Amino acid sequence: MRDPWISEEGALRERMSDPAQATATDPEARLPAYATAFLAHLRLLVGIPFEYLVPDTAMLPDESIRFFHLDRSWADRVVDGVLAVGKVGSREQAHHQAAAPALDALLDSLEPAVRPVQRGLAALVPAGETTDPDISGFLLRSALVAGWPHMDVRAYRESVKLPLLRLERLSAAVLIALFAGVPDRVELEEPHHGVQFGVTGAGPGSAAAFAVDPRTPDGVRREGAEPFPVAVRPTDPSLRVVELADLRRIISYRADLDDPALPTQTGSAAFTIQLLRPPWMQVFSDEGRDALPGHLRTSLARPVAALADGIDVDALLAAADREAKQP
Amino acid sequence: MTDRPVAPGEMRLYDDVRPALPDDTYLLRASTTLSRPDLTVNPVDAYFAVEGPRFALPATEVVAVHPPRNAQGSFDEVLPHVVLGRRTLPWERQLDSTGVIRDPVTEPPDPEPRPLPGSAPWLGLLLFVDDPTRTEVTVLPQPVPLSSVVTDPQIRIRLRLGNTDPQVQAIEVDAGLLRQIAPSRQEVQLCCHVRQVNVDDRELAAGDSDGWFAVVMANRLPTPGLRHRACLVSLEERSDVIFPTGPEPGEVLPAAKQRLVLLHTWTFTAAPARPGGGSFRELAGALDSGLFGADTLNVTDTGHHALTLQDRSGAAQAVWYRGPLVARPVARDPLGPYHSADQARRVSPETGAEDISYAAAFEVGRLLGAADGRLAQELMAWRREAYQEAARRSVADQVWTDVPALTTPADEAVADGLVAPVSLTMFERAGAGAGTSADLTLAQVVRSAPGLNPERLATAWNTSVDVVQSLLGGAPEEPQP
Repeated sequence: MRDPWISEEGALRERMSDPAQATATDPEARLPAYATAFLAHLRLLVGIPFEYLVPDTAMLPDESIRFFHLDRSWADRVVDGVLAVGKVGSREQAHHQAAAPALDALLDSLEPAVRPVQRGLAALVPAGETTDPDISGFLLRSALVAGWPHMDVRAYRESVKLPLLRLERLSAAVLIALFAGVPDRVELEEPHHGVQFGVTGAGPGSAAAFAVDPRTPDGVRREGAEPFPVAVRPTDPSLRVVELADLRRIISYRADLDDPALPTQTGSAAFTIQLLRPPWMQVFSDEGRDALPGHLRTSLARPVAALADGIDVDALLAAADREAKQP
Repeated sequence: MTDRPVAPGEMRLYDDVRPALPDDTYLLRASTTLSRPDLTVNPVDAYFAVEGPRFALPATEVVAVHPPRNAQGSFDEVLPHVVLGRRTLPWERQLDSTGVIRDPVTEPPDPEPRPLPGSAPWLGLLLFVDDPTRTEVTVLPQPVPLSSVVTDPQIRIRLRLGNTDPQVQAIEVDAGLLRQIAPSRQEVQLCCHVRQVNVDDRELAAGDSDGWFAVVMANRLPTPGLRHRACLVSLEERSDVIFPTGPEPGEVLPAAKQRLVLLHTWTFTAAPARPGGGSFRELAGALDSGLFGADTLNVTDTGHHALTLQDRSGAAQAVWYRGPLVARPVARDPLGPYHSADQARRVSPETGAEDISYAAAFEVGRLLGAADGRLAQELMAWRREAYQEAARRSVADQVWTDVPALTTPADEAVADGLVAPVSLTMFERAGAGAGTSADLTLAQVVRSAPGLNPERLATAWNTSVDVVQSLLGGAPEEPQP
């Protein structure tokens, strides 16, 4: 029995190891845009069924937050699986084998660009600098997710903010976040568009039932200033209807006469600042957990004219009237 | 906007954002004046209407409500509010377009502060107790005709509806109570503002996330321990509901029922403060935090979870599975790429059971990919391109080997598209007898077929090349054109 001149195995190995198969860096061999975006999203587990992420519900109980590292090999295998579609023989395998290193590098560089694409801000282009190879994040299952949509999530490592790779609601009550790098401090902050209005109970000796703290136009509590008393309508105090117009009058007097640092009471924005309750921030860090009043910085904007700029509706109406009156 | 952009963590407040054209019907007249008076062009009239939500509000316009829907917590010092994604919405219509509601009369020693700029918005948020023990409001179960909600003929005239009578959702409230809790005209205006926030750190919003929101606030504090219903209502032209001031002490309150057009409603319960309650602070403080999969029943220290699956023979088999989220950093597998799921199956040395984590990842990727027709097409196109590229390159390599005189590197020639012209030239030269490299007789092709290669056959048959040559029919050493 003679040895065959080349074995099947040997032929395959030869094909796979031949560098001349295809150079993946050449433009002709580049993966088309849709497929590239598909794979880049999968790298961040976008579209992976939830059961694959959390195989046992005990791993993510109600009202819990769980921090994790992302197993990069797992996401790599998902990408391999996608590229197995239509892979019928050794030719496709050889091609994948040759193209894999360049493709992996491309997907690595595309990961930070996925979130801007999800937000509809930018096209999928490779990020300039390579990010931290480690990806970490958290899963949050809580009434916070449903009740406070769009809460702020920030992660820091040695006080440097880490890029947010993904922040998405997986269901009504589950939120996933992915960061480039491993943070030592994560902050969840009450969303600012949902910053609450409220009052506090007035101290003893006050005639009014409630009070609000004076705040300067940037939203900072004015230290040392006496709180404004908040009255409720006297006809039936048990209804707890706040006398907003009276409160505005009180604030207005003090801002105009005593304390110019308070916002001048012109419209509802300046009034609203006084009623704000600062957003709450929950901090998870290596030292433990902490709850702080969040950063609230407000600013009073000039009245918005831009929307109606260039359209003088009154003049148009007057002109129309004149036109109509002409015989 | 000419202002600087809003920084993360900053909130910018506006009194209002008024639309360029309030909702109404407009006449557009185009007319031209010609310099020759004997010629005239008739003006052209066109009517158009600017219409926003009026008697119903799509749920998508409401971005958030606070306190959250059906939440329970210590909300007794919080003024409820609703966040609208369309910043101009509260100002698209007017509370009182004709000035029926007068300014409050003030006593001379008590001067009013600056008047509020602009006109009052048409949206109001009213808070009612809606507890099993005490109900202040009834949400009508069926839409009712607007004429049964707005009964005052004067108001109907000001609404300018003509003969139409749309069906609307409505609430029914005791008129005396409404008089006591309804905001004054000024307060309606104080309760609405616009905020602009930075949206960089936010999760993906389903719709509008440009950072602009209109906010409508209520003027009443929840009562501890009771369930409440907040109702966003239309106050357009409702001079029978909104007055210059709140009720005076001793004022005789009306006894009838009054109805209001309901745009959005939700309930919440203001319970006494308790751990794990309903405010952001309470909920976030009570969160159970930890590492994913650590200290969990059924999960090993390594994060693996025992599963039972059916193996190929149909027998039940215990295997390990671990998802992509792990408690401790895991080194990235350098042995890629994998070509089949079986390649990624592993056996755990400690237990002897199989670890199917990566095989499962491979399969979920394959299924996701196969479910996407466009992806499959693009993968095919990608491969086809690469094969064609490889073919071009192999032609180039052959030509460049055979023609030593070519100085351009083969790689560049492929990129420049030089290969075809050069090959053509070679054929021409070969035809003129100038060279021997062109394989016009296909002898090179024949000889390069493994079964017809004398050297390979000689090795394979363990004999001399001459013998093989003769067996193959004595192919000439060099093709002669």
